[in-house]
Amino acid sequence: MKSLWELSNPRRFVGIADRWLVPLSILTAILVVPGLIWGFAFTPDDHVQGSTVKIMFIHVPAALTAINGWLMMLVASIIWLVRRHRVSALAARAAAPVGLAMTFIALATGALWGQQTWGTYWAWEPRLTSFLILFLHYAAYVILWNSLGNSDAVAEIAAYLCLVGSVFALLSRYAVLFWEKGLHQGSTLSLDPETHIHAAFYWPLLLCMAGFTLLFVTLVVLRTRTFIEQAKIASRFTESGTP
Amino acid sequence: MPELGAHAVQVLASWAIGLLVLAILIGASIRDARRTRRRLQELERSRKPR
Repeated sequence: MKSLWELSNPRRFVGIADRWLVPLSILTAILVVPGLIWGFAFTPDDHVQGSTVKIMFIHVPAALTAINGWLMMLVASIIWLVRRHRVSALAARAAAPVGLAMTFIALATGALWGQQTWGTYWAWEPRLTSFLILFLHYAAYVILWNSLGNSDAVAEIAAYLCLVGSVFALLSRYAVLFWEKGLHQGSTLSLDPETHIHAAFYWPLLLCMAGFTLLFVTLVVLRTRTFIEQAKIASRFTESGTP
Repeated sequence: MPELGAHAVQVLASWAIGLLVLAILIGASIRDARRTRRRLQELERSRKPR
């Protein structure tokens, strides 16, 4: 098996991306489209929440992807700080807008769901607050890259911002275990059959979660390839002296 | 279309927001990728020795 570090070579990364983007996109569509249709149209109403339970099939996969996306950025940032592989910095940059969008979806759908189940759009409780801070970190990260341009110094600052934001990504994930007073429920999926959700919701939700994760991977690969090619274009212009 | 009852507005709004944001994200990523690749190919073509 080839080493993972081969991906740190920009040319090899572009070659691998070219080969895998179409199969990845097809697999993503195979998971996301039926998952969402199943969740929306073919699941029953919950006996307590009624039809609002259908919000879960957008909200939970988006929230999961938002948190995991930041953790992927953390790994990429550490690789950049330790080994200085440019592709890892670009991969973290590529992941940020995807994570930002997922965090926004989770917050917006969560507010609409919360209004129906808790009677309020927002509460300053641990999971919601840490998730809002994660959203602000994502926004700051995207603004940082977009406003200061593509340089090693920006990659360095962005990597340290990512390290700080990781605290809130982890808090978002485990807040319900640290504090039990929040409005937000515990984990949706559990190994404990007592707290496990009904199979009618479990399978479409699992399909949506897998699909959103794969969608994240596909978009990150595509966007990283774009950044590598943009850097290549910029270097060609520098070589030729054309602005 | 499933029967959504009294919560129809919240459920449909959630799905509309989610799908719209995803569509914008996917569309923008594909557009940027295509534009960049086209530009790079044009640049490489123009640099080839004649």
